[in-house]
Amino acid sequence: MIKIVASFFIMMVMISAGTVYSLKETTERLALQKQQLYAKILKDRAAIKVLKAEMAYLSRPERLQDLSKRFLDLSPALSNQMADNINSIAGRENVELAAIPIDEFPLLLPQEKPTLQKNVSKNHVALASFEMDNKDVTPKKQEQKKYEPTDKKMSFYDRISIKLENDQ
Amino acid sequence: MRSADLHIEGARIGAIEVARNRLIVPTFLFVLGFSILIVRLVSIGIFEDVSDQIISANSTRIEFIRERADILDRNGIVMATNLPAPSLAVRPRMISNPEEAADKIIAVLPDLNRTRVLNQLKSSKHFLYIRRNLSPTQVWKINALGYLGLVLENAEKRVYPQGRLASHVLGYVDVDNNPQAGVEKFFNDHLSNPIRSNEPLYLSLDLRIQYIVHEELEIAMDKFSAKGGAAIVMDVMTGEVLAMTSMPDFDGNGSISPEGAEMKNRNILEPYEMGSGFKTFTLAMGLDTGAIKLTDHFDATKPLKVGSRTIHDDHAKKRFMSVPEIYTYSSNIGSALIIREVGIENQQTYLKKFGFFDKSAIELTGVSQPILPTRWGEIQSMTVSYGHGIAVTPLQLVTGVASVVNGGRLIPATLIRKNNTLVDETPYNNVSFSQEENYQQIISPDTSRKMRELMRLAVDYGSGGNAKVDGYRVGGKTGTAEKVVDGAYSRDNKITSFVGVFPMDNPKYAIFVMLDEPKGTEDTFYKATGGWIAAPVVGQIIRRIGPMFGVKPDANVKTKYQNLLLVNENKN
Repeated sequence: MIKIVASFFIMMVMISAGTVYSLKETTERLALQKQQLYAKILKDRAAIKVLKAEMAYLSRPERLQDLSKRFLDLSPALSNQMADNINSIAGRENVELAAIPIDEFPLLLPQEKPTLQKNVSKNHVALASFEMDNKDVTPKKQEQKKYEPTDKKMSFYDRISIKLENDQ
Repeated sequence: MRSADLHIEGARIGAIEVARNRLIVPTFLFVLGFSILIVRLVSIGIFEDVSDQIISANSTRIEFIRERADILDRNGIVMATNLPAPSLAVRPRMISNPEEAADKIIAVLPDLNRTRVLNQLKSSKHFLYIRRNLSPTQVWKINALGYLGLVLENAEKRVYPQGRLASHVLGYVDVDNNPQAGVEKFFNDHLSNPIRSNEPLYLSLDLRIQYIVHEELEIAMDKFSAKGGAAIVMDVMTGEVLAMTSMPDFDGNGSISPEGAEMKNRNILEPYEMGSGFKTFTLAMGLDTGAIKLTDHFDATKPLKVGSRTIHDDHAKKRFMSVPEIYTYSSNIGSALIIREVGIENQQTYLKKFGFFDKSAIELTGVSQPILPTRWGEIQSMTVSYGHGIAVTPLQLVTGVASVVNGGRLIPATLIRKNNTLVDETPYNNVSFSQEENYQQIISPDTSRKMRELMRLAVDYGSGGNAKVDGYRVGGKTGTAEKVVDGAYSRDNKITSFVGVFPMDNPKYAIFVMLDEPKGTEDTFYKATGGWIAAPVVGQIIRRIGPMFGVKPDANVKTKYQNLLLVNENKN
């Protein structure tokens, strides 16, 4: 009887020891995993920081302004483009009415698209960095390349002379 | 002879017994060994904390934690950050062929001196630094060389992606990341605290305004060949500084000479005599004490003689002037007469309340004290009334003007974002003075309202005409002061300034521009006054930031007190 009880307890001890061991193994593995993840997060965070700094560097106002001047046909909004209510929207006051319909709802005739007028105040000292007539806004026109059908049987001298002509 | 008998009887049994005796020992050893293992196993499993051990063993490897916190603008755009920039070092004893190694290093880092590198490689020391702050590409190339003797040591570098923008506000750090100026130095406790390194510092600056102000000031400096310049944009309702720029400036990324002229932040470091800008305060105290009324007239027919001195007007009208006229046409005589009504003691009390007696409480280092008259007699009181004999920093002036127009509360200037809303998210509406926080009431809201109208008159009809912007209600006051050169006022070296506020019916932004020793050009008829030099810059800034923040243009808001002006005279 004692032998059975003793062997039972020994079995229990061994099983629990085994469980504890495997538990510990698992925890260790998880801890390692966690730590690797943590390191990866830190690494990513550092990378994000670098990218943010680069983003800030690339979106410097002066660079953006330069780029927009070169590539966009846009200029910053001016005060005369802002309206405080619907009636002050460009040219609404001198709109022609076609006829007054029965319900007296004014019918607006299509009118010319309002063009931006260059407004020069009398004390204009041209400090503006944004002039309405931005000369460099117009996109560059690509030069048409002269193309001459080259005959394969042409002599070397001919080909050279054609090339020189094209280059001029 | 029993044992002998036994022995003899069971020689076989005896052998088994010996074997059994001998087995006991290893069995015992085995049991002992296993039980030690089990005990140790259980004790490790139960009593020892696993994770701590592993992390503490590895945490020394993680270098990211020690960095300095970022500085952002109010919209979260990076203004200062730390980037990894390893240093290249060498262990000379591990380099077998210094000549070849030196050649290869020079190929990667062409700016190094070959002889010097070679000397370092041949040196008898253990460890030597060759170069700090390598770029990622350079790091890659150095690693590709494959020398064991070359060591890349982790290091960080403070980077200012915006370059020269706001350099005076940010300050800079030296090679060891020790702050030397500006916000970097003032908030060093926060920025260098490793626990708070993930907590960026939000400044009140708005990068877009900062850029506009910087650019316009630079253009004006070039145009008028000025020696220096300063500009501030402040939110008058919160005291937040939205832009602060000082010229000439520096780039925190480059090499810095701490004593250079470009290191000087003119907005806080040097007090200047502000000239006519001070009349704003003279009139405000006059109206607030009740010493004068808007309908009062003062005699400005001839220069005013006080003791041995004579006070002249720059734009003399030679007639009786009403109070709005005194302000609009910037009459020195008029403001001297007003301050005579107000009295010296009242003047001192008010100026103290406006904050001109102490240095301003901005979050920067090196803020200087104002220069006050040593003796405050009648003549000093009169010169102070039009901004001479008292020198304050531009920041103090802007704070003062902000308090005049914002309903009369002195809100200390700050460089830290006050709430989390972006500038363009705060609705622009016509709610009059908000009273959320308890700031000191300096002048009554009624006086403040009157002062707004007066400032608008000065732009619409007076010396600040060049600050006019179509559609916006701009108010402001010019200032021209002669610089003191060798103890005497110099006619040629002037400080011209303009402090503008807009939109005047519900002030939001106070804008100050100052140029140091500008020269008049053909466009300005060779005049170098605040109205010709600084006012157009403020107008230009308003023209650009108004639409950006959706300030509604409405030119039809009528100015009051117009009837008190004789406006059909020449305007300048």
